[in-house]
Amino acid sequence: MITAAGSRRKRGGSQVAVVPGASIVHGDFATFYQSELAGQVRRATLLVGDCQDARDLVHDAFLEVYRRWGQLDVPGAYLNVVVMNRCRDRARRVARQRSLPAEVPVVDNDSFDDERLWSALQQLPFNHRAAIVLRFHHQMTTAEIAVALGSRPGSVGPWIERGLRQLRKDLA
Amino acid sequence: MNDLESRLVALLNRKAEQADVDPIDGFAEAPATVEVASVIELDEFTRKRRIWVSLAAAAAIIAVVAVAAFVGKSTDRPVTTKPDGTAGQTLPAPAVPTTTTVANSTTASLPGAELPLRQISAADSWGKWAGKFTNDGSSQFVHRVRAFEVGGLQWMVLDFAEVWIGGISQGSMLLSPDGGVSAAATNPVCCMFRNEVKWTHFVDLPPTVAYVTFNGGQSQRPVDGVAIVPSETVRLHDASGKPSEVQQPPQPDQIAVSSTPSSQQTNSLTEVFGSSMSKCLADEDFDMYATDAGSNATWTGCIAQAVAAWNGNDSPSTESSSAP
Repeated sequence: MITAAGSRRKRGGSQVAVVPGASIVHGDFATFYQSELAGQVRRATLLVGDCQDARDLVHDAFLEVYRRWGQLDVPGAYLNVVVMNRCRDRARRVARQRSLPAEVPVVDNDSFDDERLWSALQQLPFNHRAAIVLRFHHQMTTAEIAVALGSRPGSVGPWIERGLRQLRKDLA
Repeated sequence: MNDLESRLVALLNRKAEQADVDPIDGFAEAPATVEVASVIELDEFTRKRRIWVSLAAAAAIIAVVAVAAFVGKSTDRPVTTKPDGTAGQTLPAPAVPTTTTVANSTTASLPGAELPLRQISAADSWGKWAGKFTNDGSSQFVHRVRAFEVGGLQWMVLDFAEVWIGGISQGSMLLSPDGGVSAAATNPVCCMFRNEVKWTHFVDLPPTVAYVTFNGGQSQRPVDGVAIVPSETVRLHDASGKPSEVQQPPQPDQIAVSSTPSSQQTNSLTEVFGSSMSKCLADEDFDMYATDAGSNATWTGCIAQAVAAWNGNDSPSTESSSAP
């Protein structure tokens, strides 16, 4: 619940600090938005498989950054985390809703092979897919991927390996 | 790098290129006086205590539901009690509304006397809202506030323009004043976005629509009679505020309504307005509808549908061969 800026209140006996609403330096945020948007949407598209959904969740993430703009030292890093979390949330939601995998007609051409690969990639568990995207598209190191996904570095290698194994199996 | 990995790199690069997106105008120029949402910081103890309280509450709810399910079968119907305290007869179950199917390619229209529509002053009827959206800097988000009275109900139409926050893009929304502004502020409303119907709610009475947030597209029960229609069908202005694409208030006999109960509304709406009409929620008694931008539906149709649903779908109807 949004409260009046600058107010303080007690809840349940413990101190609740309400940070005053801060005026936003819109010029800075506008620049931030312009510079980050395209890259974030691209990455989110690869992670969620749909550009429109990626736009939605990236803009929602921008809203979150916007609300805390005056309190963030490194808004770019915060945005990365928010976008990644929203991608993960969406992947979970899609996984819950998915009853049957889409049946792909058999067509023998290169573009179709790409679509099969794309479809198979989207079927992977989120961490496997994200690790593959970050490794093969963003050229990130294992340590960087671990930071981006909030996991241990030792998990990243197996995720990529299992993801690739599953892709080979799906494409066989 | 093996063949699969090479293909992956090429594919990801191609998909990333296709995902290029232009920044949405208007977002970055939000008014400088917007108050950001406050952040409540809790100490560790409070967080843990909240977790335990939540778990305990969940367990209690499960227990109550289980008990209710166990005894529920014997209490499905109310039982009368005689004056002497003994049980009387079981009352019949509530009547289920009968359904009426609207024939393909036909609409039902109300005589003018039964469903008058007139434009009213937004400032008079919706002063609080109109002031919120048209004074201060938020006018760049909400370009126009209008109000109409249809069938004895007042509706406010907000025209959004170039607003991305929360996912609303050039949309308009109709809010019923019934229940007052505060009700509208706390109940979820439906909005149309890129040909999808999504759910949202006002977190607070906003100085701008910046506080309109999504809940991830999950269904929530809306406040009755709230509807969203796409801007393409209602936009009466351009960015400078100059009237454009003026759409005259409809004549009463142009207002299409369906006498179909809401459980059948999907079909009837599709039949009346075309295949692009969407039903917002699968709830049987749901009263909210929206169309996508490609539909030939008009906002008048949406209003009429909402009014018909609001009125319990028992409005008198007459057959008409003209599409809205």
